[in-house]
Amino acid sequence: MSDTVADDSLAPHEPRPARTRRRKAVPALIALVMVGAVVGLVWNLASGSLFFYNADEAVERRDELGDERFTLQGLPIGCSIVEGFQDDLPIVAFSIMHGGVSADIVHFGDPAELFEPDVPVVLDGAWVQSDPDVDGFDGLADDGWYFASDRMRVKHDNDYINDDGYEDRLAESAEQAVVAEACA
Amino acid sequence: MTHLGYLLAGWGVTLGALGIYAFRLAVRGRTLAARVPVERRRWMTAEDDS
Amino acid sequence: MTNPPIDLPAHTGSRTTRLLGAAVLVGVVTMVLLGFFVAPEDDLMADSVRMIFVHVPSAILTYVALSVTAVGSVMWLWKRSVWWDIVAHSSAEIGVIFCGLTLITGSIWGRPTWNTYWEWGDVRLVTTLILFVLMVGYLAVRSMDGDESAVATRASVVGIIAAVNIPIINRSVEWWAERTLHQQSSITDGKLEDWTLFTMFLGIVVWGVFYTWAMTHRFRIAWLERELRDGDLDEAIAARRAEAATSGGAS
Repeated sequence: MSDTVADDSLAPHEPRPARTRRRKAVPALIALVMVGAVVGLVWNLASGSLFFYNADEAVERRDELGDERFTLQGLPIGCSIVEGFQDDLPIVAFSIMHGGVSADIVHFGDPAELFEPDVPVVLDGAWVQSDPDVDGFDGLADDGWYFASDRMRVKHDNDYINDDGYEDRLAESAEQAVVAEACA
Repeated sequence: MTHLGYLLAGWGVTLGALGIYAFRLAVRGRTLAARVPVERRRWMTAEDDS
Repeated sequence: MTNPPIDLPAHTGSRTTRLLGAAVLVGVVTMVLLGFFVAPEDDLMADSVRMIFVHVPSAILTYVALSVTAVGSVMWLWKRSVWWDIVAHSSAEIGVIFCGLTLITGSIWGRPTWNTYWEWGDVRLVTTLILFVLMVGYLAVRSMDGDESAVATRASVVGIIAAVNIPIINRSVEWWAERTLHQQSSITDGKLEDWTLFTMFLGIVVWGVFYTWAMTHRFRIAWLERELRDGDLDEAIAARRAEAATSGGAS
């Protein structure tokens, strides 16, 4: 050990200052944050199962949901997608499908970069009891309701194999058969 | 190449953070090792570092 | 004639760590070349898929590092092993960095692919953030003043609680498969191939070698800190004894 260190360690030490209120608060704050993290974990796990309603569930709960904002998930149907403008705001109207049930969507704003047919989307918005007033849009659900969305996320899958052919894989999915029939 | 900005940000942050951490470890190790007698640095064998 | 000065190494390196360090540097260069110029783009995500080569290895090394912390914590509580306590502390510090990088790279990757940097409703994302908070808490506990043994015990409890989160994070995308934005596991589902698969595994290996390198240095640093504290304490005790002897002799 070097002399410097020896000198330092043997030098008279200042008496340790009494614990201030602030120093006492630090462990309490750490404990609070960690308890908060654990509570957050439990809350997240409990609510995680309700992150979004799939299209079939949202249609089934339409009365219960009313005009409440919620998150909706489904597979955009290619033949239904219509892009346009409403009061200079870009909009995209399309139908989604899940569990064999379709719902019509009007998304206000730019669609997500990866938005394309047959790649599931997750949308924030609310039900509106009206036919969507979008030129050229012929919704597959056509049930007098549409979902007005203002936030879109793309839920891509975990498949990074290109040679397999993305279209081929989608064609094998259960939804695709229903979609093909709906668009025919 | 698409999304180059995102890629450079992601890779840059990753390699930068690991590089900075590695550098800090090396500096911390040097600073501390200089203050501890060599006989108490048990991993320093003659084959390794003489 | 004076003796030539002895070249005493004053660092935490060794031949092994130098080899590991060189391997990491070579590995990173290879990763960049393969990741950016050899691995193909994805048919949906295009080139943004290249983020997988740093994101997934960071996530896996987070699991590894924090699992080691959990093992070290258990061993401290069980055997009161200082060696394991240092291992737990060292691994936690590196694990926090990997966990932070997992969150940051995932967020950056999420913007062009999911169309969002963050999704509070997603279980995988939020549980990973909670793990990060818990591990930062672990390091905060370790930096607190007080009896070393008591601090180690408190930190060990936090380390074990945090580790409980790891299987939840890992399996969340399967348990909530129909309810998450985050995709399912590509590795276990065999959804990677060729250069994409190779480069990602190379990333895991390179990050693993970096972890080993960093653990070695971090462990030695912690060891040196203890030696220094113990040395200071020994000298302080000796000084006080000498002082007592002197004053006793004088009286």
